[in-house]
Formats: sequence, structure tokens, C-alpha cells
Amino acid sequence: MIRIATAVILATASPAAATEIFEAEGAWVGEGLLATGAEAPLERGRCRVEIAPDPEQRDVSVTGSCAVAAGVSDISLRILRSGDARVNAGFWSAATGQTVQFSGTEIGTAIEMQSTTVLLVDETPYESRVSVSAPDAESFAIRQLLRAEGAEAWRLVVDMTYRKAGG
Amino acid sequence: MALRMRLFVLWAMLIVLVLVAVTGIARIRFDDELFRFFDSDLAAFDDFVALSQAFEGDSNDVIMLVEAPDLAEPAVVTAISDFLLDAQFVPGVRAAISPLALRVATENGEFEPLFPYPPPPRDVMAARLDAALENDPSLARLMSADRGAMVVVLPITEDGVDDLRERRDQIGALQDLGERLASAAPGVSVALSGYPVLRDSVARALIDDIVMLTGIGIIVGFIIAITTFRSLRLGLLTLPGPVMAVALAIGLHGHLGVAINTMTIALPVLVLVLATSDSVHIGFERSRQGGRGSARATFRAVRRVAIACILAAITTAVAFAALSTSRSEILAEMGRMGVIVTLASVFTVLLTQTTVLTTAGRFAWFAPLFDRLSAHPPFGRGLEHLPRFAFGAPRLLAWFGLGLLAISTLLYSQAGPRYSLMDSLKPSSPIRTVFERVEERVSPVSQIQIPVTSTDPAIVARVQDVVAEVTGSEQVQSIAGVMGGVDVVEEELPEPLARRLVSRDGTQTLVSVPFRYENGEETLALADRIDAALAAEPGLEGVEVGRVTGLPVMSARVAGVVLDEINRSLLIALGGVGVLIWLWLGNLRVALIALVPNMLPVTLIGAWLMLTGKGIEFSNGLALTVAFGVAVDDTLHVLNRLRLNGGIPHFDRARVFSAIEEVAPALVTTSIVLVLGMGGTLLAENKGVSDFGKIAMAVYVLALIADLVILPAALVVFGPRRDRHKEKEPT
Repeated sequence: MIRIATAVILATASPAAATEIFEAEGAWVGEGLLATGAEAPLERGRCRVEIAPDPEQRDVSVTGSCAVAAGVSDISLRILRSGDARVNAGFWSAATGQTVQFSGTEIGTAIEMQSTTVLLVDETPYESRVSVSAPDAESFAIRQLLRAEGAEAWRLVVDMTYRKAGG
Repeated sequence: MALRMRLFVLWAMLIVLVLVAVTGIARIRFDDELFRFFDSDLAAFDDFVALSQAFEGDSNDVIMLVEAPDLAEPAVVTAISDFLLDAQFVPGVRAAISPLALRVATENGEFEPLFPYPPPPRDVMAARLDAALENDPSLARLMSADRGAMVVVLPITEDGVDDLRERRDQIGALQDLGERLASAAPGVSVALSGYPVLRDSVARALIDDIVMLTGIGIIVGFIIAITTFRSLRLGLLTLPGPVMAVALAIGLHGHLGVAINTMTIALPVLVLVLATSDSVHIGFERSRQGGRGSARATFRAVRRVAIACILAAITTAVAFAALSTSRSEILAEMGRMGVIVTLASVFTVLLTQTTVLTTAGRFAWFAPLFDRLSAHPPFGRGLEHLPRFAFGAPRLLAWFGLGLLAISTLLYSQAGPRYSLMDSLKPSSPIRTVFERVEERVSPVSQIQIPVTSTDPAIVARVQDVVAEVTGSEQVQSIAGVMGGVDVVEEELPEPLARRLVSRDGTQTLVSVPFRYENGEETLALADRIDAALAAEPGLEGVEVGRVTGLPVMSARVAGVVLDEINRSLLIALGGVGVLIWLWLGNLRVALIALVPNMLPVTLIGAWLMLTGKGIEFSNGLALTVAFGVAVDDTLHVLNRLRLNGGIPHFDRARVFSAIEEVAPALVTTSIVLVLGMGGTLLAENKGVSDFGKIAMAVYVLALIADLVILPAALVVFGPRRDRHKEKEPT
């Protein structure tokens, strides 16, 4: 299975303005750049996901897949509001078979999250940061950074902007 | 009252047949079954099955050819990238193999995509591609040196219940995306090919072809019946038997779960022409019985021709039965279905025509139809005069026939088997054109594959070197070309790609080389050279290297055996027909003579195939065998007439002449039915069906001429000796 897991699973982490992810529903398409591995270069990618929030907007599940020219990988995530502007998330990817836990805060229309469990790539543990912003009313952007544990520099592995499918 | 009861029983039986046919037609399914053709107990097929189970093959690869003035153009690159990303979201598409998935090394030793995003200006991208084309064989396999053509390979799955529909949906979605790609940038063209597209095209053509073949067959039969009987009503009365027979033949496929495929598609139209021929014979005989009561005349007419019709069906069934012994499962199935439908057909047509003509006989308008026919006898289009020519110089013609038979048999025996995977496609087929364009512009598509029971890169590299040396190709592919070997393949490549290099259980690796497929013969010669070179390589002693295989190699090996079987089937059919006539007439000499006019068309066409270098292809071989069985029909009707005239126990020239004179118009008419009824095959989309039809039609024409010229001459010259001194001149 192609190693697009590290980045791709997070590429769909949060939609639009963070406050809107729990309102977002249906099919969304992400366009942008993905790295197919922790040390791989960025390349063009596309994601297609289905977003299904619960009616009370405290819980949202996102399932779909992300593709680069060389392959495609299924992904799944669930995000929960835990009160006091705190959010927790769990992300799974078919490419790695791993689920990574995240925790962070909602500040206005943005979400900032940090991984609370490591992602193992070639037996090297990696930590991760995810930021979600809302450049306009119809889209949201996600940037994800990754670094090996103990390293100083963060690497950009996802830069993806989502729009409603067919919109 | 007895007649009413008889009619009631006949109609009841007919209604049962209608129900069987209709319920069967509702269950009919169409499938190309292209690969099932090779399903056999042959070692070459077992090798291929083992390979397919261990590795990912190319039989599910959709191949897309993208052509553009320059593939380095940013707008073109973006459009192709869009296509690739979207294509992978099409359900069932498991991967995308394209130049856009390749990496190049940077100056600092790291790897980056060959196609960066956003795309650089055209000049920069062109220089990048030109450099990669020189150094990377993987790119050379996927892109032309002039950057004008690119191949994208999309392996699809077929794991649904209805493969045909699933495949059609997948191909349809990819075609839509391809059209979008073509319209996204100026000068871009996109075409799909590959085995899934080929199979979809063949399956679609089967549905169109069977409707067209049956429709044309019925219309032709109807027109010939009208012109022969000079009556619209008699023409219409000739139709029910053939229509019922063909409906039942198709329906039986549905009931027995046999798909209409590239083999069985020929059966309904064969049944149709045979049934029309029988129906015409019944019509002729019914006109001869005009003086009797209508019902009695019909029963007597059917009884008198029934034996010849049944024997004709049996001879055709014998030809099919010979095919049913084939080791190719699909060919054997066609043989079994052929036996069933030809025998069912003759009884259906006899029953239907008896019922219809007896019922029509109850109406006042019926009898005058035959009175008119007696006043204006059916015409034989001039060909009925051919026997006079035969009786003019019987000795010369009989020996000429025998000499021709000997020479043509000798030539035919030298005709070798020919096979091509493209046999089912016409030269103008878009799929074939794309295959050829890919091979011409980019790289060969067909693959030769060698499984190696080792994951040691050094050993695999040795196999790769041998293959490269024999084939002269720089595009041999194996784990030897992957830095890091099996581990990297397993970790970095998508499953459909990894399984082209390493087996599912991880114990074997695959060495494959693309080659330009011309025909089965050349493929086998190349495969044998590789096998020999690998066996002679000292560095591979003790290493388990499998026999060279792959779809082209396997199909060529199996085809060679199956084509030999088809030829053997023809000999079996020949012997079977001879024995059948011998048993029927109790005269071995007449039985042997009867074979001459039926062998001649087959050997003449076989000789022509040899002399023109075409060789014996599947469609040709099948047509010769099956058409032989059908063509015997004419001879049987001649012999039947001779028998009815008392010419078998009291053989003399006058009786032969009389029998030929009486039956010639019917022979001409039924032969025209056979030839023109099969005429629809010339319009068939499936090239195999079209070739089958051409050969069968040629056999029927030659068989008619041989029956009207060589048969009477041979009967007169070589007929039973005891009566030869009593020969009389024809009157």
C-alpha cells in the first residue's frame, strides 16, 4: 500500500471554519499538496470525503479517500467537542493501519491540534500538528506538519483546501 | 375426428415448445468469455493459472493512450493529473500506472516527482522529461521519445456478481473522464484499450450480432421462399418452423446456463439456415403430393423428407460431437450445444411445419397454392442444369474431382495453425487501432512473464539479463531493478503494482518483458528461445525458474493444440458421416462416393488458406468442420431421392439422373438459403463470426456445385458395379 498515510489521513482532519465542521455535511472535495510519506516530497493530491455530523454538533465522522498520481488510500476520522473550546480527534488510515489521537482548541474559526499519540513510520515515531483555517465562506484549508520525535524542524506534509463537492 | 385429435396434440406440443423457448430466452446471458476459451487441461494453461494466482496479470488493465503535441505543456500536464486523480475514485479502479507516478533523483540524492506541481514552464518540463527518457526505462515504457504520446494503465477489479455490468460501468466512467481530459487542453486526444475494453466491446457486439444475424436469416429465408414458391402465403408458411427452431435454440442456451459467446453465437444462425432448408424441402415435397387430401399430403410429404432432414441434422451433430471432445472447455461446450440444438431443431421444424401446413390445409385457399406451383415449377436459377453437364462427361469429371480432392487434401494438410489474440477484432476496430498505436508510438503492450522461485535480487538479475539478451529489450522488469528489492516493493508500491513483481505469498518474483505481439507462432518461437537460454544459463543451476508464460504465450500454446483438435474433429466428422450413410443405405461404395463432394469444398478452401498463407485460424477451422456437417445436407437429399426412386438396390444411370433432376431445384434453393442466410455474418461486428460466415458460405457454394456435378459423375462412374453394364442414356 502506498505510503501516503501520514499526511493523507490528516488532510481531512477538519473542514471549513473549525466551528463549522460540525455543521458541514455531505460530499466534500479537497485539492492541494500531499506528501506520501514522512520524508517524501509534496505532490499534487485530491481527497473525496463524506462528512456526517451528529444533530447536536458535538461529534462528526468523516470517511473517504485521498489520491495522488501513484495511488489512493482510504481514510476515516472522528472529531469530538469536549467543552471549553477543546476538541479531540482520532484518525485512521488504511495505508498505515494506525489510529493517531489528537487534541487541541477552537479559537474563532480556527482549530489547532497536536498529536497525543505517535505515528510510527519505519519504526520512527513522529509527532504531528494540524491547523485549520477558513480562507473564504465556501472552503476551508488544512495544513499539517510532521517531525520525528526529538527533531526540531517541522515538515509540511499536507496543504489542502476543501470545497463542497459539485459546488 | 382423428385429424382433429392429431392437430390438437400437435398444437399442444408446439405450445410446450414455445413456452420452453420463451422462458429460456428470458434467461439468456451474453459474455465474451474470451479467456475461458483457453480453459483446458493443458500444461500451458496450468502455468498461466498458477501465474495469475500468484501475481497480478494484465488481463484487467485498462490502457489509456493520451496523445498531445507536447506532453510537457503545463495545461496538458494539469489535465492528465486531474484525470489520474479522478480516475482513482472510480469504483473498482485499483491503481494508476503512469509517468506522473514516477520519481527522479535530485542533485542532493533525494527523490521528487518527475512531474512537479504546479507544472513548470514547457521548456523546463520538456528538458526534465527528455533527460528522464534517456535514463529511466520505466518512463520509456510509458511515454514516447518525442513526448507526443503517453500510456496510463488502470487495473480494474471484476469482483461483482454481474461482471459484464460492473466492467461496463467502470469503462464508461473512465471514458467520461477521458473525454473531459481531451477537452481540457488543445490538441489532446484520448483513447481506451486493454483487455477489459476489448471484452466489453466483444460482449456488446455479441448482442448486436445475434439480433442482426437472426433478423437477416429470417428475412433472407422468407424472400427466398417467396421467390421459390412464387407465393407470399407459401413463403409465410415456410417461416414458422425456422423461427420456432431458432427461438428454441436460443432458449435452450438460457435453460442450460450456456452464455451466448464468441463461439456459440454461430449456433442460432446455423440452426436457422438448416431449419429453413428443411422447411423448403418440406414445401417442395408437399407440392409433389398435391393430388392427395390436404392433411394426408402434408403428413406424407413430411414423412418422405424427414429421414433426409434428420440425417442432415445428425451429420451436423456428428461434426459438433467431434468438437465436444476438445480439451478447450468452451469449444467442447459449443460442441455439446451444437449437438443439442441441431437435433432439437430438426424435430422442431418437422413438428411445426406439420402442424402449420395441416392447419392451413383446412382452409380453401391452401390447395390452390400448390396447384399454381405445379403449373409453374420452382426455378433453380439455372444451376439445375449443371447435372446435364456432369452426365455429358462423367468419366472426365469424376476423375477430375478425385484428382482435385487428392491435390487439395495434400495442400490442406500443409496449412499450419494460425492464432492471434486480435482475431475477434476487425482491422478497423478502434480497440485494435489503439493497441497498434500504443505499440507504434510508445512501447509494446503484450507481456512475456517468467516466475522465479527466489527473492534474491542477484538471482533475479541473472534471469533478467538472460531475458534481456534473448529479447534485445531494455525494458525487462523485475525486483532486480528496484533499489531495496522485495522489502521496498512491499512497502512502497500499491498492491496492484507490487504483485507484478513479487508473488502474493512473497516466495516468488516475476521477470516480465513487453514485446510486440504479431501472432502465436512468433510468440512461441520467442518463448522457446527464452526457455532454452534460461535452461542453459549455468548461474541458474538449482534455481527454480518457471516456464515462460503470460497471456500471449499461453494462448498461443493452447491455440496450437486446440486448432489441431479442430482438424482432428473434421476427420472424425468425415468418418462419422461416411459410416452414417453406409448404415442408412447399406452400401459402402455409395457412402464413400458421397463423401467426395463434401470433402472437396473443405479441402479446396483448406488448400486456398494454405496457398494464401492465412493458415487455419479458429474461425476457419470451426467453419470447415461445422459447414462440412451442414453441407452434407444436399448430398443426403440426392441420395434420399435416389433411394425413394429405388436407385440404391437397382442402381443405374437413369435413376441417378432422375433423382438429381428432381431434387436439383430444392438443392439450389436450400443452398441459396444457406449462403444468403449466413450472409448476415459478413456484417457482424465480431471478426471471428464474420470469418466463420465467409468460410461457411464458401463451403455451401462449393458443396452445391460438387453435388450437382461431381456427385452424379462419381455415382455414374464409380457406382455399384453389378448394375453398371445396364446403364442407360438419360432421357
